[in-house]
Amino acid sequence: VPSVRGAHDPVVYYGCDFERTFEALLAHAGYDALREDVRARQARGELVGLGVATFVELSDQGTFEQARVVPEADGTFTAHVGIAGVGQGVETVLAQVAADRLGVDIERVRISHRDTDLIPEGQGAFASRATVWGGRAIAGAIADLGARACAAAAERAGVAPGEVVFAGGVVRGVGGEEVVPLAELGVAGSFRYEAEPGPLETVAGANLAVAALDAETGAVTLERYAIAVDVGRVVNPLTLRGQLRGAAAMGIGGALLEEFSYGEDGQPTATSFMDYMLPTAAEIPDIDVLLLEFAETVPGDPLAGVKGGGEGGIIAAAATVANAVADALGEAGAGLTSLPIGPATVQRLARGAVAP
Amino acid sequence: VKPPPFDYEAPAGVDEAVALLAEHGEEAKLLAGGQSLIPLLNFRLAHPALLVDVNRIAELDYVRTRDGSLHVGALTRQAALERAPEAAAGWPLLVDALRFVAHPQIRNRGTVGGSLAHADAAAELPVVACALDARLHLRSARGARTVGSHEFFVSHFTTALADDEMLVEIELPPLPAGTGTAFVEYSRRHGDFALGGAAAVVTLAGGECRAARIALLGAAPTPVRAHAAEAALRGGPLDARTAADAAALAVADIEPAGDAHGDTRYRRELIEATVRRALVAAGARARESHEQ
Repeated sequence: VPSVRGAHDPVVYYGCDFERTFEALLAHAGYDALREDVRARQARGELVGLGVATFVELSDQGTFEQARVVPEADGTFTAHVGIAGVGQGVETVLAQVAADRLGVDIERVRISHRDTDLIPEGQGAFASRATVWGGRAIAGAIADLGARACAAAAERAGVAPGEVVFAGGVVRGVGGEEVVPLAELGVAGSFRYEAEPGPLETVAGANLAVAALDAETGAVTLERYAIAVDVGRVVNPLTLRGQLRGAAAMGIGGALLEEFSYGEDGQPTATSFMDYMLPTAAEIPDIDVLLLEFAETVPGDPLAGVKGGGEGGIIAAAATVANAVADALGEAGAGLTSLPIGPATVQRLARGAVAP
Repeated sequence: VKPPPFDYEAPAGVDEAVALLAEHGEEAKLLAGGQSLIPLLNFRLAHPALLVDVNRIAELDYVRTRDGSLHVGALTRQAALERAPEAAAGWPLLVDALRFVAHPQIRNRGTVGGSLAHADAAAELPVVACALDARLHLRSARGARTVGSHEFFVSHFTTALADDEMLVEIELPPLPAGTGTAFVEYSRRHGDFALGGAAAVVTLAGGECRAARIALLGAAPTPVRAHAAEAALRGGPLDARTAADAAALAVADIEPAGDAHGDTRYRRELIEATVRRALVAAGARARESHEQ
């Protein structure tokens, strides 16, 4: 696997299979037939193009994340974690991790991430890390809770620590019976997950787009958009697909619409959302998401190979759209050198692409 | 931002409203659907001393036909006109164009008269009014008068309305048999103000174009009628070639202002394309009307 020198010196692309990820996208999207169809339409004079782009993302950034898991008197568990919820659904995903590790229904888990009185430190939600780092911290805190609960219960019951286990949210004896109610033990689990020196986990992905241009209006219509991303292991396909689609919408907006424009006198001309054009649902095509789980489990990874996914929709979006537009423009596509690709640019370049 | 302070009156009838305008003149501003005025107030780009809220003037909310013409009360919501069977039956250009006016939520509130009186150069209804040769009925305490669409629109946000006048009705004359209409525009996002567009009204008889009206959106501070292109079409066939020639003629003399979304050349070519497409579509509909 190649490595480059950079902020993480050197970066080792650990656990990525670029070729397999790219091939999976092409197979999923039916690339060969799509390519043939686009070529045939181009031969008929249509300004239509097919673009692909691949990406790699460091999803493992940060130095620590911590969690505290508290058994409550009503049988629920509260997981305090320093990760921030920013609308990406991290409460749901981390509750899944906690429920899975505790062996209880998700309804019995509450995620608490807002109050620094309850959890003083956290690095936050960025770099596609919230699920991975928050999850590792919670998994560690639940392991700690289990160890403390077993020790306290064994002492209370007067048995050897090896004769009790923590399973299904309950401290059980060798016969599976509850030894002491958990809430009576007064224990909580804490864990501070810190990055080990070593390779960062990386995420591989690829995007594909088919764009149709209107030479006269300069409009770009995305007829097809597909994303494949290898996230190692999917915790929640619904929220992950949602995040990927939202990210792709932002990427497509950046590729085609959003611009901080200035007049010749230096005055900003995009000073409201009338002129700074965020895409709306009407501008975004159906985004076909292929979730891949290729990555090997990292030794000792408490989440067994879960990698970041949040940014997988945006990283390659601009390149993918630009490649599709350039393909549609043929040789004139070489003139496509900046983003966003506005209608005036398309109209100007299309003049060279269309026979008069 | 909150609007600057203003006084507020909500008259129940036209007489009362024009009396307030007579008293306060340019200090007063009519509030109808508020889809343009309220943002202008909140951005503090407008600071009238008095808002005259006309939303309670029920007598101005109607769509009806009389003597073959369509009469639309100024307070009619854009969505109501979009769904009015009278409009669809006789003036489908209205329905086609209204679908481009912002979004349904805005059309539910925005009024036909408000859009015309606001006279945004990129708005659809003024262009349609010009293409359909609308007559605009105005009232003031001094009396009533009627102006044609060609003299109503003066410049950016400027109409023939005097400070003490209000627009009360839009009247559209009937379209002759064999007429087809079409509206074409392009905006970067669904519901945005268009970067350019055109409305076409063509009457065909025996394979010949008897009459054509073309109005351009985004070509100038007001809607522009392409008289030379209209004249060129009259008496000849309407096909892809003549439509293209007419479109080229329609934009020969326009100098649309450029901005961050496109320069003058971009907009001229865009408008040319919308004219050609509108003419072709209007011609196809005119032929369909013959077959029925």
